[in-house]
Amino acid sequence: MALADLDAASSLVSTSECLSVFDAVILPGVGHFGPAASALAVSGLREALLSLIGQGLPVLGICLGFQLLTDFSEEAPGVDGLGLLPGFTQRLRPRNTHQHKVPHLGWNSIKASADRPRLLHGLDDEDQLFYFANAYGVAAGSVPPLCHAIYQHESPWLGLVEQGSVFGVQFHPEKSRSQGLQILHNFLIVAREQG
Amino acid sequence: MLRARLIPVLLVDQQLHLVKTTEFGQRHYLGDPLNAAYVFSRFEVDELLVLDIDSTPQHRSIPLRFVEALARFARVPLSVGGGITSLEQIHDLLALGVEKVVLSAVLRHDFLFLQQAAERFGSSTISVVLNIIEQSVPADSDATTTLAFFGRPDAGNGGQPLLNLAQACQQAGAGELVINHAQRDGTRAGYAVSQLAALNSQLTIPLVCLGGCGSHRHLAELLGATPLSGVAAGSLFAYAPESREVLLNYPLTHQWLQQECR
Repeated sequence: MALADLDAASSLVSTSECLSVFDAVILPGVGHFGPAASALAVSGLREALLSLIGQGLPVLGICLGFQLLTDFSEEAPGVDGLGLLPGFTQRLRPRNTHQHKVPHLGWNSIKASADRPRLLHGLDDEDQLFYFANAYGVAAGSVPPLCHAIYQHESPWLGLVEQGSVFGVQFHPEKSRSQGLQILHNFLIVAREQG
Repeated sequence: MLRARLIPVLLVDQQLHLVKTTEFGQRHYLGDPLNAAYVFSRFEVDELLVLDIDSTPQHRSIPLRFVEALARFARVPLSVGGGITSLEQIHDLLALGVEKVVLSAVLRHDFLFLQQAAERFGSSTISVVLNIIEQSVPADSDATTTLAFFGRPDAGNGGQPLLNLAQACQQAGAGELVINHAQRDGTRAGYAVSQLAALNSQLTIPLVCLGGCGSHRHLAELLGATPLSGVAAGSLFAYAPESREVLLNYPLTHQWLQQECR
């Protein structure tokens, strides 16, 4: 629905056929790393995606979709992620559980790296809040410095990452008001530029 | 930093009318829930909690077509509940774009369902409502004990001490607990601050409190006492202040909360 608001045509895809006709791919995420990663492998989508993304097809992973782009997740030991973003996903484990609950649920702010992400074009991130719903995350210190934005939940975690044409956001841009739509809009601009 | 969520609650009955209850009993007709969802969506509420309060007694779940319409009208994060008893129903609701599915009555007889749902869909998508009442302790006229229930807090429904039930839900994988105070529901007499603060200090999962909010002062009292994940209210957002005139509102309270939290 958010995509329709932005005048983007989209289709829900669950098989690898016809994937090459698309200008970009969005990997959504609500659920569990294990079943999601297995479904990608079983359907043939994993191979098709890796091939097309390797050739430059822009991809945006959202929430679980973002975590699927990493190497693996503590949520599903032994299951491979897509390995498109260096790093891994781990359970949020704050020491002060009175102040910081898990899942990380609600509206939080993000802070961009000096190398400002393209997805944040047009957004002043100081006061912008985004909607999160995650019990697992990608720790800010666990990946080499990339173009990114972090959120704080006792310690810094990656809220947004960009590497070439691979993009990931831990929050739900489709539920995050006009600033969330701006992020999706920026992704669509990138997709058109590379199309 | 993560902000405390401010959450309007919409109760719908079997005719899909929007209603406001008092002490889980008397109902006041408020209007059309889809219109209310649209209005709150325009207000950009932090989250909307929608519950079908006639579904469990009628052995059915919140109608999918209603939730589909809701998801179309409301662009804000949605939690929905009412008579949910199967993984298929949860799957169908999440597929409509709902962020969280709310469980309660089903857990009375099938507590294992909570763990199954959390494992299948991720704890972040599973919310549990515990309805609470305070009972005086026979030996001590001043003391009360807080009993929690899955579903309606009826006598003979087997209420348990709040902390025990809350921790069991946390252990089983609930992503969030919503504590709904049945005796304060619709009274606008304030939240049960000390009980809720005590509970929050014992839990590692997000807690949302509902029941009794009638003013900004009530919100300040509760949030000043404990760092809650969210506060929910029905009357506050449905009525004009100190009145039973229907006036859907949100922006002033939200603005006030942002300033309080600075």
